[in-house]
Amino acid sequence: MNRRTTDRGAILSGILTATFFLFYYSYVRACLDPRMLYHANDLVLPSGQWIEFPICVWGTAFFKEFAGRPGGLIQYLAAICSQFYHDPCLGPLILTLLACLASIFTDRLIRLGGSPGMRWLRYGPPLLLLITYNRYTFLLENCLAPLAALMAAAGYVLASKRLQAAPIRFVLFALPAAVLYYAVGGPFLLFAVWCGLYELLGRRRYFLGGSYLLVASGIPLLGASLFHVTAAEAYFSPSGIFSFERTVSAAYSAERVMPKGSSLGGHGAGSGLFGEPAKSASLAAFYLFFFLAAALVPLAPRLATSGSVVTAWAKKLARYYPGGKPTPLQEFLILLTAAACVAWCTLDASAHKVLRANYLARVEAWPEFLEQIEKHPSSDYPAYMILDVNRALFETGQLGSKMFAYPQNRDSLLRQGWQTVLYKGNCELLLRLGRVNEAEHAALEALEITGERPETLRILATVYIVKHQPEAARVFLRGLSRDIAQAAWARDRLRRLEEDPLLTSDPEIQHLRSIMPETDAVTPSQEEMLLALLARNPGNRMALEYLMAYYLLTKQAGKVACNIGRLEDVGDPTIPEHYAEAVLLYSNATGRPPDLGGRSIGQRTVEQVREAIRLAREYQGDAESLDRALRAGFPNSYCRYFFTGRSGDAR
Amino acid sequence: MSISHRAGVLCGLAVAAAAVLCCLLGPRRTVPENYADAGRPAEIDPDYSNCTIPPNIAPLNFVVKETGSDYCLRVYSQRGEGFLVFNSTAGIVFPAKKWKTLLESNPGGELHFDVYVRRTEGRWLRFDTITNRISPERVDSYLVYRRLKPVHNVFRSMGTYQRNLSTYEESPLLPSGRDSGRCVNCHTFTNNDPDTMCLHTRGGKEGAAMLLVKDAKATKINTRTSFNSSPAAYTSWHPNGRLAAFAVIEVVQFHHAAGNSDDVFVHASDLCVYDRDSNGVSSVPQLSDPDRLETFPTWSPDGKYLYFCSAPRLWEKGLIRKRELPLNYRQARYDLMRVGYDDSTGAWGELEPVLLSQDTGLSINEPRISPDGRFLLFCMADYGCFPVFRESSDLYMICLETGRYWRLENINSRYSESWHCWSTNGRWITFASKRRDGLFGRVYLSYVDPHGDARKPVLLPQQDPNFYAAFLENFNVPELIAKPVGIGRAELLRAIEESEASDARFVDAPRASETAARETAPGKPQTDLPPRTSDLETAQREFSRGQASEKASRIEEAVKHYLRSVQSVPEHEPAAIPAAIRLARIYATHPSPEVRNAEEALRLAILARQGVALIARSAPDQRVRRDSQATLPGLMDTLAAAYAENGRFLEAAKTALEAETMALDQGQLELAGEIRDRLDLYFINRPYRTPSPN
Repeated sequence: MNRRTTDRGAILSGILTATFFLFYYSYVRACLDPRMLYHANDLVLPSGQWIEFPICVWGTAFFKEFAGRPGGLIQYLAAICSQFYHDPCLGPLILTLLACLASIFTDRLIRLGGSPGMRWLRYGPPLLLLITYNRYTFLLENCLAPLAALMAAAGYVLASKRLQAAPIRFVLFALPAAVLYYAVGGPFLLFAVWCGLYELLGRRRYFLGGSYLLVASGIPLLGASLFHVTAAEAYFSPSGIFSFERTVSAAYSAERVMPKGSSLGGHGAGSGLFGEPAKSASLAAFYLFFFLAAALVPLAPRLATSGSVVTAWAKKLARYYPGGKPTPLQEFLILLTAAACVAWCTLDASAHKVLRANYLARVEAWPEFLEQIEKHPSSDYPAYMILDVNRALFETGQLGSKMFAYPQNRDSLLRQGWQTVLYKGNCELLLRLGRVNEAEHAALEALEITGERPETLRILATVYIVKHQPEAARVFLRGLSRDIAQAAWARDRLRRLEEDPLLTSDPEIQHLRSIMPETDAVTPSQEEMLLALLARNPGNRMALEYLMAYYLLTKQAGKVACNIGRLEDVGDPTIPEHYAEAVLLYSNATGRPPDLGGRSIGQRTVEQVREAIRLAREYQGDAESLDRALRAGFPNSYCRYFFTGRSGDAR
Repeated sequence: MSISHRAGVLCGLAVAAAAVLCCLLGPRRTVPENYADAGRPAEIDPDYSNCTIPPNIAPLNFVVKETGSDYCLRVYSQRGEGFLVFNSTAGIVFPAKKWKTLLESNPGGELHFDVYVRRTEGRWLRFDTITNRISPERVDSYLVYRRLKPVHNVFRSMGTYQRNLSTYEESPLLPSGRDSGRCVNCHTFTNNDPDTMCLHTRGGKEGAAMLLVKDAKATKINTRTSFNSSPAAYTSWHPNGRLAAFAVIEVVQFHHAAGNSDDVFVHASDLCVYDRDSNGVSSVPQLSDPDRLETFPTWSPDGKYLYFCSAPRLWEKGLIRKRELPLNYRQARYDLMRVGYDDSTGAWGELEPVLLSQDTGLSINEPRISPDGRFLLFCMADYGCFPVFRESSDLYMICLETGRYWRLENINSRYSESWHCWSTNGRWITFASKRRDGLFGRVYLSYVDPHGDARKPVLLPQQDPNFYAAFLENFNVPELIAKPVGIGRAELLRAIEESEASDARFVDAPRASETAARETAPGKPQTDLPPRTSDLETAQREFSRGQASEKASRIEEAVKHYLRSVQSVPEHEPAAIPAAIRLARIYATHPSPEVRNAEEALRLAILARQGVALIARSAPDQRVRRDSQATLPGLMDTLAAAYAENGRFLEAAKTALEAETMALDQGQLELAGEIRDRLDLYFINRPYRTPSPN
């Protein structure tokens, strides 16, 4: 009867644990969405944290890069696992599995340590991992390494129960310690501490336990001389806690990518608060938990019987608990509540916003991207995202009518030269515009700066196909075919190139060829570049809209008026709102009605411009008052930008 | 351990033992006996067929590009035992020991590959024998090259490496280190001897420096002196191992909108000589003419001549400061020159031309002289001095005894060939070529016969037969050396990062005074024209008549009147301007080629612009100033048309854009619209033509 009850309890407990991790998985998948991290390399979060997403390709050459340093194996494994983040199911599954395994190994160690009363501690690692996940800046290697150490510790404790001889136990410790150090680097100390404390406190083998700790503290020093790394790296890398170098490069990168104090809204959201300490704190807590558990677990049985203050208090507290020991269901509910609290309180919402917007932009989900941007104030997003905003406005047909609903400036259309690399999505933008050589140049620089990333290889492959250089394209495609996430696309392209080396039947390639410049020019300005594109193909709508946007941003209303006729080339019978405003402003300045090619401007726009001009005259010399008045009347109008240089505060 | 565990382990051991026995005692694999003849050689990559190969080269592993389920390769020569290679994949990897033995047994002989492929249906197919020739002359044992991504502006992970040519062993000499931002370049050796060498670094927190290595000891030198603000590049060692000639260059990196993307323009360059003993830098007027660009120095093997490339400077010196690209950058073509040098006295001789670009029609770059001093290997491209970015760059040889030069037909491709180097024995050259894909530079070795003709080159072999298929780095500046570099990576890095650079000082040498910068600005008012009698009335009258004739579409008559109007007063007189504008317009845009006169159109348009701009700026009467400003957009439009007629479309587009802005500022919307239409033509390199009245 008792046994049946126990079995039933175990089954119920198992079901509830599985349910908990199902919730865990659902949360990671729905709310955290690791796909956002997959697309976020080199992204600087509002806290100043810089994301460096690992690259991983199949092949021995790539593996060799990792094999020559302590902790390289776990980094390689982490790099492989991280690639699955691109999948909406597998990424969350990996993260959940990690939490689940951390819980299982902790539980196993507690039970092997003879402290079944402390089994509730097994829920610590998943919750701590959840905090880490919620920060969005974790590297998988930092989570995998302690897990491997825990697994090894469980193995040691299990084996040592059968093998009593001290020399054998020492060998049983020392050999795995050395192997583990090579595999996971600094976090192997967790294994050593657990084994050492188990011997010291649990088994009271002071000499053996002490020698474990002594040997463990020496192994990294040996590693430092063997692998030519610094002592600090030998002890802490890749724990993620000691991340001096990463912090430096993060700061360096962040300054390059996002000027201090710049954000989409012009406020100081990203003003150089490099948040490495915050990132390290959650990881440090994760590690600390295991170190504390390593000390507590062997002590627990003794504490329980020693009538210490702690146990006395525990007994007192237990009196208030009506049912004595909580049932599995109660345990589950408590755990769920705790997890919900952790999820709710520790989520880095500002990082989530930026990551989500970035993800939507990278997968070119433009309507959803705009929806995301509009949900929150513009000041929550970094300055470089305005390039994506304008691209999204173009893709959704709103660039000429809604662009001044966002904070714009002269540089918010596109970037040229090597700086292109620093702005995510700019290579794709240049390619889509038809500036194939600029896209090539920028992507090649990106290859050097950010490494052989799949998105870069993909762009380069496309560029060389468009440029009738299939052999060069093949080199990039073969490289891409070793990428875990993009292999299928690359292989398909390679196959198609075999059949048709110029991909003459591919509509995307044909379109790009039809808009790419055929005549050479060097170092053109943005205006010249866009005009050259239109000269090549007057039907290049993107070039036209970007040219008009350029004229609007540089306040060349006359040129907007002069180029209205080009709308015919793209078959647009109407005049977008901002163009109409510019035409009216120019007409007002010169006193001459423009030729609209039979198009008409709405009465509301005419009145709006007339009123804006009146206000401009009324507040001449008082820019602040003028801006206040225009913002109140026409917050998203071109007139406001034209007269004050400001826009987009409404968001 | 439980019984089942023990049983499992025993089973595993038994299977492993059986497998080993099968391998050792199984039937020996032989060449397939039943096969069909393909009637053609197999396609292999890299293309190692009909090449001449060094006897000490590492196995030429390759991929058979024929579909099959099994591959067999029979390798044999005249002497020694051949061998077989079997594989289930298309990658053929030769056994290194057998390869070495076979090659060393057959110097001067032929090396044959018989390729057999088993098709999916199970039948073997034999392809025609592939034959290569084994040269009796060895190539130097080591090669030093740079490896870097196809970058242009930014550097993060590049490096200099040395490779053992007999094996695949590659070791880093000086990797720049990720995030160091350091560019390592221009490694140079004295007569292929690595005991005396130098290499250069730029960028990074240490800045530019020359690393001088002598007998495994590295010294860091700051080669910037009072003479040269740029650091040294393109070094060449004198055979005495004491002097090193180098170039100091100012460059602008840019990219093209169409065609091959990346390019580099050299604004200014001079040559200097570094003396290792005195740590001094010197130069002489023959090497640093302010009106010319000197680069790519190379000493003759006897040290009596310094050969280099030199081109006239066709742009203002100020561009260097502004780092702008002159519009005539494509006209920069380099000649091959030399200057005598007496090592005993340190005296320099006269400048002598060796080969001029006006005779070749191409720009001469990177001269390298064979160790016997008979031949000079160089490359030529359509313009400039950065052949690695020019698809047109090909390798040529010149016989220094006869002055005859020829293109090396066997080794050039449609893509860039550059960065070449001779072996110690003068029988081999190595160079970088982008022939495989037009983007990535790869190292090739080519045998050069005693007549200076090069044989079909061999791609530097790699252990992985698929290595080049997905390797995303360039190899460049391959330099052959007789033995490995004696200094290690750690010492070199220490010399860069930890040691203080020793400042070289400029040792004064007689230097020609700088001549005034050549005036190249187009359209500068010609002040040496003979004075003409002022006749305002005639000018106005003829202009009116010209207008009337033009309205009546009598263009030839109109041209005559306008000409008379222009000629009746000095050209810079305001009265000449209206006719000059009309005339320039007709000359630039008339549909008939008989009427058009591109050069005169441009001259007149520039003259008129200068005149109008002067009036608009400084006329005492405000009305006159305003009227002049009003004519400027139209005049600029004419100037743009004149530029376009002269084929200077970039200037045409820029001028037309200026004209459009002016027209819009003045509310001349119709004119702005017309200019915009013309702009479209200039951007596709087409001149504007006035619509014919017919």
